[in-house]
Amino acid sequence: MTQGLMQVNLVQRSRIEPGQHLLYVDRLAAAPWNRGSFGQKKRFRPVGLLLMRHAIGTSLVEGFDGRVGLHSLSGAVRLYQKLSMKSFGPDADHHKLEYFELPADKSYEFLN
Amino acid sequence: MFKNPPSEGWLKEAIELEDQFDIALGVELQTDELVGAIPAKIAAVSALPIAFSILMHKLRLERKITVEQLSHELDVDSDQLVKIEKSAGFKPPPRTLQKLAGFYKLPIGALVQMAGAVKKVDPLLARNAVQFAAKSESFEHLNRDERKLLDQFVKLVRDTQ
Repeated sequence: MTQGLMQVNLVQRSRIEPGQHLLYVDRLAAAPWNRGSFGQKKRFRPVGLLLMRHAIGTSLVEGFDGRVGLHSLSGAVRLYQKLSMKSFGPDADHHKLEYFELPADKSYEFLN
Repeated sequence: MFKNPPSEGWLKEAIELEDQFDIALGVELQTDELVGAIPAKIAAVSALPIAFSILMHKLRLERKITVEQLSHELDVDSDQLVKIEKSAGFKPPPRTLQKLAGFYKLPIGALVQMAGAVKKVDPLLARNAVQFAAKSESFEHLNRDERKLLDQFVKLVRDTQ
C-alpha cells in the first residue's frame, strides 16, 4: 500500500545559484494514517522526511549537487528553517507560500 | 536511482523532527478534485465527510429513490438531504442522522463519526473511508463494481461501533 507520495520536477532553476539546476518538489504528502490524521497514532514514521531525503538524493544523482527547492505550507516553515534551507519569503506567484531552497553545501548535512 | 539508506540515528532525529511539524507540501486539493481521483490525491484532505456524502448518495441510488421521496419518507427537509450528498463537510443535525441511520440500517455511532459530529474516529473506519472515497466514481448510477464497493463499505460501517 502507498505510504506517501512526492511529485517533483527537474526543470526549475536555483535562486541561490542562478542558472544552476535544482530539483523542485511540487507536492509531498504522507498517507493520512502516517500523518496522525483522525487523532490516530502514525503507522510509519518519518515518511515525509524520508521522501525529502530521496529528493535530495535524486538531486545528487541528477548532477544538481543536492539543490532542492520548494514552497512551504505555513505549518512547516520552521521545519525547513531547521533543515538549513534558505528562505526567499512569500511568493506572489505561488499562493504567497514561502519559497525555500536547500543550498548544495547543505545537502550532505541533511543526508548524514 | 538514489540508494543510500539512512542510519538509525538519522531516522530517530527525523522522527522527532517530523512529529513536531506537518511536512505536507503543495496546495490543498479541492473536494471535487478528489471524487473519482487516484488515491494519491487523497492525502491532503480529510476523507471522512467526503465518504459520508458519497455513501449517502450511493445508498439512495441503490434504493432507486429520489431526494424528494427520501425527504417525504424521513420527514426531513429536502434541501438538507441535498446538502448531505453534495456538500462534503455539511454537518446534519442529530435528528437527521438518526433518521438516516434508521432508514439505511446503519449504526448511528459510525454515521456521527463520518458526518463529523464527533472528534473521536475509529481508525479502521477512517482508513476504509479514504479508500471508499477514492475508488467511488461520480456517476449517477451504480455499476457492478460500484455496487460491490458500496456493499463492502456498508458492511464495514455496520461493523463499526
